[in-house]
Amino acid sequence: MERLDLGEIQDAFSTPLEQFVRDSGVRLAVLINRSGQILAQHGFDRFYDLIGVAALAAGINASSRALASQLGEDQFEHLHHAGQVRQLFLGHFDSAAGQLMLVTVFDDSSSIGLVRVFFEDFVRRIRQLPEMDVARSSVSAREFEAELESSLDRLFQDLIGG
Amino acid sequence: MRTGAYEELLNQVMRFPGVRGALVVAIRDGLVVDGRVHVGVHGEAVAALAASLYRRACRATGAKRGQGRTLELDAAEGRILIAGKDDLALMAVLERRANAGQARLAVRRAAQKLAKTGRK
Repeated sequence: MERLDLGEIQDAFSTPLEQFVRDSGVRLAVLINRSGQILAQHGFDRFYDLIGVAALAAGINASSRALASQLGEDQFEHLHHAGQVRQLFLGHFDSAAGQLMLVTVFDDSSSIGLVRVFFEDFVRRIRQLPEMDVARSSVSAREFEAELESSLDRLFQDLIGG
Repeated sequence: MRTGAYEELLNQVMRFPGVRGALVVAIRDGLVVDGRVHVGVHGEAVAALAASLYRRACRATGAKRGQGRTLELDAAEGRILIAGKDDLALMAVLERRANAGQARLAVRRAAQKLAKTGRK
């Protein structure tokens, strides 16, 4: 799906995302596509934090796909990193708008179990959106690679002040 | 759902009529460590939601980590019993007709053996 097409339907993603945040009790959540394009978000105050998380998550997803491939898997189901205070969950799913990814950060007020349970609901709600009926998937491997590189370049430029 | 090290404890709870499921759950994560559930019981959802309530109840009552505590959710169609020990909790999903007294006792007894069983 081209950026222009996604832009037309991305407003529809906000309601399911807000519902997911309410149900699961997570702090931060962002829905992105494989290129790292942001489709909906909750909880991010600073724009550059959001761009960074989206770009890095797209990179993590690409790396984990490559690792899964080496191990003979199509793709790992979810990715979960647990810290002392905060935890990160990265879940991907296929939709009419191509592969989408939910990246979410949570603390003691939620749990990985809750996030997984409500992630399933979230995916179901996204797939049932009327806007998804008109979605077309046309992201080519080249576009994905180019967009990912561009997002990572932007992130590193911000980080090193370039 | 596959059972393993906790099979004996789960059986102690499941043997009562009207018990639809028994789960050993990691309290912090809300994930199922081991369990047996009847068809129609969404074990993962029960584990995640009940563990969340249990954590909040412990926080609200000032229970310290590792102290055994029990929580009971009474609903129109049945009830959920939860008894915790250290980082784990034993949960039972009961139909309305189940003998709650017997099940409660079994859940508490089984929960006391949780940590010991996990270290075997």
